[in-house]
Amino acid sequence: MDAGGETAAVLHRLGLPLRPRPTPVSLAPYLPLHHFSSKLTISPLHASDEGDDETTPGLISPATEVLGKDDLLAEILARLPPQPSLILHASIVSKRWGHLAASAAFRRRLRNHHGRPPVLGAFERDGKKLLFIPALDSPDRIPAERFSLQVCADEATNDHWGVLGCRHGRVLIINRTRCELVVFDPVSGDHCIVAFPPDFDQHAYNANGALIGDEQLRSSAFQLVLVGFSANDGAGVTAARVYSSETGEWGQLVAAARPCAVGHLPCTLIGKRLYWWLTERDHGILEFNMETKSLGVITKPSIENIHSCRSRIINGEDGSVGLVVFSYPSMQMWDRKLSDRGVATWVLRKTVDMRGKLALPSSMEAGKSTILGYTEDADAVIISVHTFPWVQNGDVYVFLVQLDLMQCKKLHGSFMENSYHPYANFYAGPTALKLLGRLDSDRDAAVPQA
Amino acid sequence: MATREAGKKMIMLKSPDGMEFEVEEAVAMESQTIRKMIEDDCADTAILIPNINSKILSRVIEYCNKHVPTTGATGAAASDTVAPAALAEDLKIWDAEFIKVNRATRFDLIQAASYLNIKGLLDLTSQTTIDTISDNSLEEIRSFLSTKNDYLPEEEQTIRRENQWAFQ
Repeated sequence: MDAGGETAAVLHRLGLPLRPRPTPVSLAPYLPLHHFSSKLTISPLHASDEGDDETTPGLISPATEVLGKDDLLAEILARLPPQPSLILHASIVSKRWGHLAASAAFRRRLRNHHGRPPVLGAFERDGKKLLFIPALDSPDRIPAERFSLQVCADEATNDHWGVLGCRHGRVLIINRTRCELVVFDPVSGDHCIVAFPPDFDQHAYNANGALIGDEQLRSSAFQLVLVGFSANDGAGVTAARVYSSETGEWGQLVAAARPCAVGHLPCTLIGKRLYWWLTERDHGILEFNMETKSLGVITKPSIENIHSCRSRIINGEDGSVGLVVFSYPSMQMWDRKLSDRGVATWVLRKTVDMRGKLALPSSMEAGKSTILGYTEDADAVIISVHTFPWVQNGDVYVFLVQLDLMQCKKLHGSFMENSYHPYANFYAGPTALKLLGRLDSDRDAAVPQA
Repeated sequence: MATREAGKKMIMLKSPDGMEFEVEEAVAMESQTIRKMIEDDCADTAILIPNINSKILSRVIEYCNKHVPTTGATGAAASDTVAPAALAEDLKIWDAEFIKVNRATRFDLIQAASYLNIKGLLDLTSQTTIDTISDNSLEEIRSFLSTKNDYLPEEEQTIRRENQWAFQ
């Protein structure tokens, strides 16, 4: 029996190609690679790299063969350092590269290869506008206007609104005047509006919320969770509701056992659970379990001085609830450990002396320190150390700190005593895609050439 | 033919140009594609690797031979005396030598690594390609990767203008 033939059949059954797969149809017409002249295949510029190049002029080079397959090209390009400028450069190599770099599938590959996305910058509420503050250095410094959004309809409108946080590539905004949530994707520039469920309208000023997308970037679907006071037919309760972008509807009311007031700090997602600080008066952390759809309160650690501006709920060790507390020069990380019998205790995991890492003048040791923001997507915080009282042009030092590696990067810009929302994502140049789409359709509309 | 030598299960790999390579099963199973076939019991005594010629296949086997874990069921472990860090360092040096091939061979290796699903080899070959292109100008990248710029000049200009910050 010809083993080869049999194996070929097996390969076929396994869905494995027996021959190189044909290039999948791209989104736009582009020149097939085999139309290129052999002159392009052998470049005198790279004679040193070639060594014993066996490519015969006139034949299709293996290079064209490999690069002719979208998945292999994507596999190679996904190894580019995930800096916006590099990906944009790759996207103007050719149209095919441009389409590929802008695709959701490519972002997924980048994520698989690099793990956590880079922090591109941070968002803050600036009057009527959602303002982006870039964190990377040139040429990866995405301009503020590229990612910013006008939230109030016009100059005359003065809505009461705020940023609830950034997660999975999107920014969640709450418009308390209009009783709406706004989901904004800064990369594509798209935004959508979701009205509150009516029972939350009365207490819009005490509401908080969170957006959960697909961390693995497999789909663009998202869920919104709104927490706060629900009127609930007169009997007011602290409650949550979940909205699904797939059904376009709010789910059932999930009420907490006792009333409590949720604070204004952003939520932290840990596994399938969401955590918000309660207000100082209520002294605790609100927990919403996405799987069991239950709402409860866990106790806050009895650590001295954990004022809300000094601490953030973070992803702890082994999926536990963690806490970072910053009081310059010390940064502490705590984990909420559960015993076998389910008793929770807060355990100090580590204390880091930030003096060596931040290299601040010694006078700053008397300064005030705050945590301005946290992102689970990159496991990073934005911290500041400043002279007291806060002075606009005085000594203010702001840093982005990668918590796992304790890497610090100084941020430039005018930071105020405000809440900042770090934004981490792979920026893969959808502007090129949009432009291409437009240009392609322009050309399609033109008179066909003879 | 599957044979047993010194307790090791051997497997035959055939290239389409008629060459046969007898390798240890553990070595062949560095390829997830082949591993799946063996585990699903789909593998016959010889496996035809349809689109990889003997020259490339022999290089792939060379890579797998080097990268197959030295400890395991075979008990032929020699790594007890070598620290893991030193072993990793040795592999790195070996990889650097291994990938000193011309562009055509490297692209063939990428294709083979992808087809046979050998993550380490795909990482090595792709990363080398990226390292080569990262430092070059666009024109060089296009030329090096045999990719023709099919943007119209005005299209490229528009994209550059809209993303001026990235093209400084």
